[in-house]
Amino acid sequence: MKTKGWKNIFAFTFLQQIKTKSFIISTTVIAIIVALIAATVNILPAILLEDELTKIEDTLEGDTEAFTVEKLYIANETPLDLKFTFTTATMGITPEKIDSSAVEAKINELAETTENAMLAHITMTDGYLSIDSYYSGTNSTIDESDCNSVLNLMSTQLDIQYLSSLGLNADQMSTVVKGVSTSLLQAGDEPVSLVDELVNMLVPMIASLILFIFIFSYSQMVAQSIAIEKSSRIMEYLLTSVSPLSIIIGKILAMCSVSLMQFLIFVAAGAVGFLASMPFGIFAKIDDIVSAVSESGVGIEAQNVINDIMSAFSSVNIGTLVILIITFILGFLVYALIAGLAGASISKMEDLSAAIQPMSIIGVLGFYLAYMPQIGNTDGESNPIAIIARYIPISSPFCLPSAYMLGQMTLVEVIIALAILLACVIALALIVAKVYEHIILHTGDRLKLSDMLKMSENKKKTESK
Amino acid sequence: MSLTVQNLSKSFNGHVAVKDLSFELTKPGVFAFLGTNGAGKSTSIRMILNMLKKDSGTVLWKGRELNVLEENIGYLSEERGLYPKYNVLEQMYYFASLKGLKKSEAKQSIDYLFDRLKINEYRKKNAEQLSKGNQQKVQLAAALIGNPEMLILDEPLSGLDPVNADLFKDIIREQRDLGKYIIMSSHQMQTIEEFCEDLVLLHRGEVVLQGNLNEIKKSYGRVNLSVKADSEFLDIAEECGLTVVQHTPNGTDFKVNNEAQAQELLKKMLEKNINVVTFDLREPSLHELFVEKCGGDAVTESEVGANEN
Repeated sequence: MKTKGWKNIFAFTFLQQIKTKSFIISTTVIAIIVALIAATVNILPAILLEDELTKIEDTLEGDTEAFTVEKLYIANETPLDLKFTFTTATMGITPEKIDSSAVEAKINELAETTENAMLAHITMTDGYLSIDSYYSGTNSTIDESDCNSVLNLMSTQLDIQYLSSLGLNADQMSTVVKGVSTSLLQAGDEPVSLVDELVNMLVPMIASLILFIFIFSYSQMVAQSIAIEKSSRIMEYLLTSVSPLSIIIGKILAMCSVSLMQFLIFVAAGAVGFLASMPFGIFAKIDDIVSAVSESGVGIEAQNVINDIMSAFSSVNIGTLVILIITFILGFLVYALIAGLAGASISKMEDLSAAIQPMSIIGVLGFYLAYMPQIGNTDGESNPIAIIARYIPISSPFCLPSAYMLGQMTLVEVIIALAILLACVIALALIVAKVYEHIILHTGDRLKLSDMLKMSENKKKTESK
Repeated sequence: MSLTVQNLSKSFNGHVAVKDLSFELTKPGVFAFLGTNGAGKSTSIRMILNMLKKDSGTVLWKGRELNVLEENIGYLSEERGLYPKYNVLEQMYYFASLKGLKKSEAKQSIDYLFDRLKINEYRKKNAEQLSKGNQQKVQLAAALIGNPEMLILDEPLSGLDPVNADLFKDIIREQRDLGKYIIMSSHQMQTIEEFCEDLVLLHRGEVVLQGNLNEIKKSYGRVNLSVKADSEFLDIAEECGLTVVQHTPNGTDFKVNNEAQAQELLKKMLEKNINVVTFDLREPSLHELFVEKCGGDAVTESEVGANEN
């Protein structure tokens, strides 16, 4: 069997590769960096929103001292009999009704007072309700965000009471209170938030860069490994036990596994970093934030940050991961097969950089095809170059997964692109299988592709004689 | 069991590297594969091992086409190599696994060979930390692992100090005595004479001498004469029609046409009361045969390169 022994070559190459100091150090360092980045995504918002989170905590614990609004004056000019509830468990505010004629005087009083107080002036004009509110001046220690929380809560309760007075039941009120979401877009455009804009541009750029680094560097190692065996003449010894085809299969699969393993280590490090940071991160407080927002209106900002982060990762799922892994493997095979030929075409290590130069040009070209169209592409629109790059085998490994993740490609389009990539792998594998065994023991000057094919043809003719 | 090589030929870009090489190993022993640098020895070995496609010819082992991947063959190549950055023991286990040995079998074999070759202390070191001689020992161990039936040793003794050369010779002798078929190429003619009964001598890809060494020597007869005396005798040698080959500190070497010519010289020297210190009439050595067949027409460096490409 022509492929006998490939498993031994695979196992040896894999083990030796993961035992090298460079692999251990680079994997450890990068995994730590990835874990720190993942932890930062969790911890940083918690640090930036520390004051708000403290208030959420205090609010839920009924700690009214931390809540700076101590007094609430309500001037109701509407015909409604309004009642606002601020429980001790939430804010502990005791509202005090005042006459609407005293509003001006109260505003002046608030401007000078040291008391942390708020005035809510509720009016109704042509059936429209409004709350104009004022809070104590600079002599007080009142916090504007606390006033906003009170206002949010009052607004919600006012809506409910008004709708109730109109005769709506609980479900109807719930529907109305949720409000009507509005947006203004030019026809043909998709709605894009700031987070979406960043995701649209940065995810494809970062993904193509990471995939390029992994695929390209490990492919080069295939060339290097074969060149070492050729230049040190180990190859001759190996060929008494295994075929050239077994050697290249074992090596390519080993390098592919090493790179994939390293990639998954980084993914796991990210997950560990995120989970380990939970006690200190914003996601640990997600339940508290939701409760606080619904109960008292405190924590709106924190909830928005969480929603933004979750929205950015919403398209990461098992399907995306499977497509990422398949693309990674096929992309790696394209470059590793080219690298295998490059490594076999030389007999001296000093010729290696020259031998892999054509592969470097192809790789860099493929990378730029995938990377450049994403610069400034914040709206997720696919320009023609980006679309073409997703189907060209030298560039598709670097851009296909992110395009699918961001919804820029349908599943059918992904399957077509993968089929093209697979066809390229098969074609390259056939060329390598045909040429490799004829050039593996070549010594002397570096071979060009035309020389390799010529040698292969000559051998074929000889064999058929 | 026998190895039969029939009409092997190989050309590179129109340059004939090996032409019509045939020989046969019908019984276990050491077969000498000789030739100048670039004569085509390594090319022939690579063809025998099926690493290099043959232009023509067949290699039969046990009566059928040799498939090196299915047979247990040990090979020590001329230009040796180990993975420089990898641990020696791990490399040996790797090579053993390629030969199809189980881990326990590999361990047994490696332990024996490392002990026999006196390299136990280096098993945990990387290959690049070993001296050239010790690396060569590791490679001989790699060739012998799995107890191969046939051994191909390309220049096994080159670069070894006398102590290690003797160790290698002992091991080759042991392998021969175990009934192995051994093909050995070497430029050390004395070593070849110690081991080999049969040989083939290649020059410019062609066989220029082949057969049983003793019979070849006999066929030449005792035509090599070395003489050392206390006084001048070259005029007498000239009188007898002898041709001087060379002068050495041990005397003068002549080429004689027959034994009678040598006896005439001795007789005349004694008649003139010349004190003869050495008078050695012998068959040609392998070294002399080699030089005679290949000496006047050595292969150039550029031709060596052409053979390899």
